Amino acid sequence: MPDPIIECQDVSVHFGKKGVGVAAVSEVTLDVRENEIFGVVGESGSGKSTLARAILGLQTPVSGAISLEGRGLDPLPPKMARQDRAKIQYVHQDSGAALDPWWSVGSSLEEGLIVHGVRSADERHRRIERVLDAVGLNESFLDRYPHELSGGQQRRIGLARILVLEPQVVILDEPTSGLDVSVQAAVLNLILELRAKLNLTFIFISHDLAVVHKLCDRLAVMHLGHVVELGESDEVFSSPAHPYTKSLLDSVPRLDGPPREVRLRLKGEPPKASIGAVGCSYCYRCPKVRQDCSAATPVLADIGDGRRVACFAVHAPAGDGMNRG
Amino acid sequence: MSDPLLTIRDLSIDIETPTVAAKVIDHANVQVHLGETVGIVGESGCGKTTLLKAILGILPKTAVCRSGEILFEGRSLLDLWGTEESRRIRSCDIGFIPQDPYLSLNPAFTVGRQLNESLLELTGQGAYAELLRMLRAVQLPDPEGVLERYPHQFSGGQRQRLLIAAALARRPKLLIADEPTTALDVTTQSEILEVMRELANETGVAMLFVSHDLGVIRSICDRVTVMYAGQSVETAPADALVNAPKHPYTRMLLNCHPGRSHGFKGIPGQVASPLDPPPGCRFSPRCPIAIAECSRRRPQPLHPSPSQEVSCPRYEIDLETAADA
Ligand SMILES: Nc1ncnc2c1ncn2[C@@H]1O[C@H](COP(=O)(O)OP(=O)(O)OP(=O)(O)O)[C@@H](O)[C@H]1O
Ligand SMILES: Nc1ncnc2c1ncn2[C@@H]1O[C@H](COP(=O)(O)OP(=O)(O)OP(=O)(O)O)[C@@H](O)[C@H]1O
Ligand SMILES: [Mg+2]
Ligand SMILES: [Mg+2]
Repeated sequence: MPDPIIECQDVSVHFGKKGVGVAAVSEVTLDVRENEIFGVVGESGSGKSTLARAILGLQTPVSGAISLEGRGLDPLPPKMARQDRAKIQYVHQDSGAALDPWWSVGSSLEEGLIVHGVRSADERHRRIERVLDAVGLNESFLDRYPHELSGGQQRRIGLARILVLEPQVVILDEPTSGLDVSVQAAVLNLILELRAKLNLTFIFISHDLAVVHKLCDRLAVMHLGHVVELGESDEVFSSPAHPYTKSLLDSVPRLDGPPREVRLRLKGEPPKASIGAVGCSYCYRCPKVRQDCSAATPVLADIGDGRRVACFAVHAPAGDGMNRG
Repeated sequence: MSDPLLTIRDLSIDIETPTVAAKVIDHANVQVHLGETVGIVGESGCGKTTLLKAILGILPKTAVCRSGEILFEGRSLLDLWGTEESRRIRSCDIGFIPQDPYLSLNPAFTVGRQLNESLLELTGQGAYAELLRMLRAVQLPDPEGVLERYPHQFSGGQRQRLLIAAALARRPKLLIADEPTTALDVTTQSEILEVMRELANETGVAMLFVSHDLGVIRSICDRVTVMYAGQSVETAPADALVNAPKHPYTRMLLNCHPGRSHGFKGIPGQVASPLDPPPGCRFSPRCPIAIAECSRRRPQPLHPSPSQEVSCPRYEIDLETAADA
């Protein structure tokens, strides 16, 4: 098994104060292995981006530990943390829109290298040339401005801007949302190619479960700040264990087979992930809810084959004598 | 089948630009019958939004209609453009749900003020009661409370529910929705689709539903029109379109779906630009089974069965064998 390159141990990130604040990330434990594509899925507001920002050092966890290649990463002010963690880079959701409209592609790419202290112009040009080639563009693009690029080309430049910094781990936040199938296919194939060519590790945050299924080796499913299920993506998709994972997979509009009926229904306001809340975050809409679910928070526990699930009903199925009276 | 409510026949629209005219819609045909939900699907830039704007009469002043007609209940909307009658049809008989729920409400005013103003103007005092009824129907909790809140106090899914309620409270005959779920996560998307399906059944409103996601289209539409670069290339019942597509573009689009393709497949080449569209069938430069004739003359619609229409004389030819030949 490849070594973990990133490890999170009980990482929690809170916004605001106890009672009124939001527990955006709650005691998340996961490991990302070298050279894998690790997916993070979950509905809007489940804490995916906040977890990414914690790993990057842009958000200081209130508790827990994060390590890179076995080295514990100390909480630092964001600017210093970014220098300390330069091997981890982040591609913003709308990376095309993040390009400065007044800057040519060439200047955008070079600026990042200057900021990161690459002094030699030769070295900068060598890196840019190599990365442009890796993302399937050529030097004729260096003089172009963002509005002269297609959506897919903008994403490639957004990715190139990160790759010139020669990271080991790249976090992609919703890299294909709003793209057409064709452009999406090009971006996803590029990710697969770069992983092989540059030996990169990817954390892939997405709403698109069909893509995550095919692209990612393993994935974590988040719900209101908690990781509720984690495992090999083939297995999670073929036999989801957590009730939330099941309903998430049921929500995907399908092309083949009978159209799925919507079983999941929001009843009233979805609860906020409040700080210090007790009980499973999913119990308010879980079809399998039982008494113990609101009394304590289930922890992520191994159910075999490296699959980890946080659910009392999975750990101790009904009939095992727990809480049935 | 019942009478057509909306008929778009042979419609061509140019939009003037400083250099040349963009030929954005090219001899397009779409029909919506009473109580029917019709989907429009196609890659980014193929003219979906422009078509909707033409129906709503909200095209820019630089737009010119080169051919065709738009009939609503048998009356020509193009002839009515700019008249009081067209304004009445647009605000009473046709409801509109825009693409981005985050951009379509003014953040400075309460939701109630924005929705009520436009409603009162139209239908008087009964409007408020109807709005409350619709807010309940889309399952927003505490409808009276909802109206006192500001847009930022709602999630994306809740805003979309609000806009659906507001559009339906006017009791339109036709509801036009431009990618109403694209900005939402899968769970929220499936809930919104469910709400729309139920309300369509209950109120009998006809819908024209734009999306680039064939899975979404299949889950909500009775019939589908596929557009490519401003041309309507195929129309069929939703199940037939997904299971037995005819036009080479539709077949290739379906082959790109992650659930169906091996690896990530795109359609080679890029969507034809309306500034310099290829002659004849606009898909011909990307089509593996095109022959010289295809780029000479725009293909006439054929009818493989009474409910299907396809603008390709070569729709029976296999894509694979042609690629090998
Ligand atoms: N700076 C902040 N201050 C206060 N609350 C925040 C802040 N950033 C995020 N949150 C809250 O933390 C929770 C998790 O947000 P986050 O952006 O991580 O979700 P996400 O899973 O990335 O969602 P999406 O899919 O919509 O991008 C949400 O409830 C959000 O409102
Ligand atoms: N005002 C305009 N001036 C010039 N070209 C325009 C104008 N509005 C739209 N176009 C062009 O017309 C074509 C169709 O645009 P439209 O917005 O209708 O596409 P769409 O199918 O809705 O795409 P998307 O899925 O990205 O929303 C595009 O190539 C676009 O660049
Ligand atoms: Mg996010
Ligand atoms: Mg559009």
